[in-house]
Amino acid sequence: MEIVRRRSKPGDKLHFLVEHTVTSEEADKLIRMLNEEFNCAEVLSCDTKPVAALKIGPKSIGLSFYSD
Amino acid sequence: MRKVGVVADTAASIPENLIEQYGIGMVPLITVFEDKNYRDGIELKEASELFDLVYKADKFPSSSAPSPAEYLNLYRKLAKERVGGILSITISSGLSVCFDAATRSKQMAQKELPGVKVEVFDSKTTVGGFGLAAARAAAEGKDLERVIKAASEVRDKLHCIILFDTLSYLAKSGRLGRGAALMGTILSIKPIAEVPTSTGMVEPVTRVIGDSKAPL
Repeated sequence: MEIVRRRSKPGDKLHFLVEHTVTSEEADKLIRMLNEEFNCAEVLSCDTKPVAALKIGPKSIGLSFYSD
Repeated sequence: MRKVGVVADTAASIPENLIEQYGIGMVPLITVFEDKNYRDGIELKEASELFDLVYKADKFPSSSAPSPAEYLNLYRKLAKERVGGILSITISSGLSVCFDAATRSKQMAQKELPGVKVEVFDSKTTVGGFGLAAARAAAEGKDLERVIKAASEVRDKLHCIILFDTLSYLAKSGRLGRGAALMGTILSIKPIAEVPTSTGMVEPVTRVIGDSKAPL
């Protein structure tokens, strides 16, 4: 969350994509926190596909974001 | 009717419902496990299935990029929809040879599908923001140049952060890069890395958050 705060400005309309690797509960928690704190244009979520999961390992979470 | 088709590899994490909604062509990356190929989303549908195999195996699997022919097959399908252009978006060329395979497939398409202009776009990262931006622009009926512009605009401002539970998988894949030294010192907490689109490589986040209980 601190990373997002540091890399965005207050009020920025943000697009998020949360990618989770066999850790959907942690991802859901992160999504709730993003929705509560930021001005979200969209918060998308998806499972990491197997080859990408092989590189980053189980229980990893990817968060990508940009502002309009 | 859309003028442009969008293709991405399965490293691009695009939610399934949006893949379907926008008709994004997905090229599967391949896990190679005991000489057998498992394509993303086909032989291996979910990451949990992969880890079931990994936990039981003596040897760690490797991975493989799709062949140029895999890309070309999708271009053929899109050509039948009479699109005039195709944007083929790949995982960072710094992390995979998908970009090279897609580039070779573009050359093949130039000969076989002369009415379709194919452009290959190096996402410089691992996520699907570009694919979505491009697919949305294509769905609005924009031409190839504008679809590329939409993807480029997102690439220029995208942050891609990864919160690891363990670095062992990244180390086994040989993708730690210059972040290894720093992150090797912080194994007692969840390491955080990023894939900046300026380099397209996995790098440490400069300031690491110390609370391992809080996501990011």
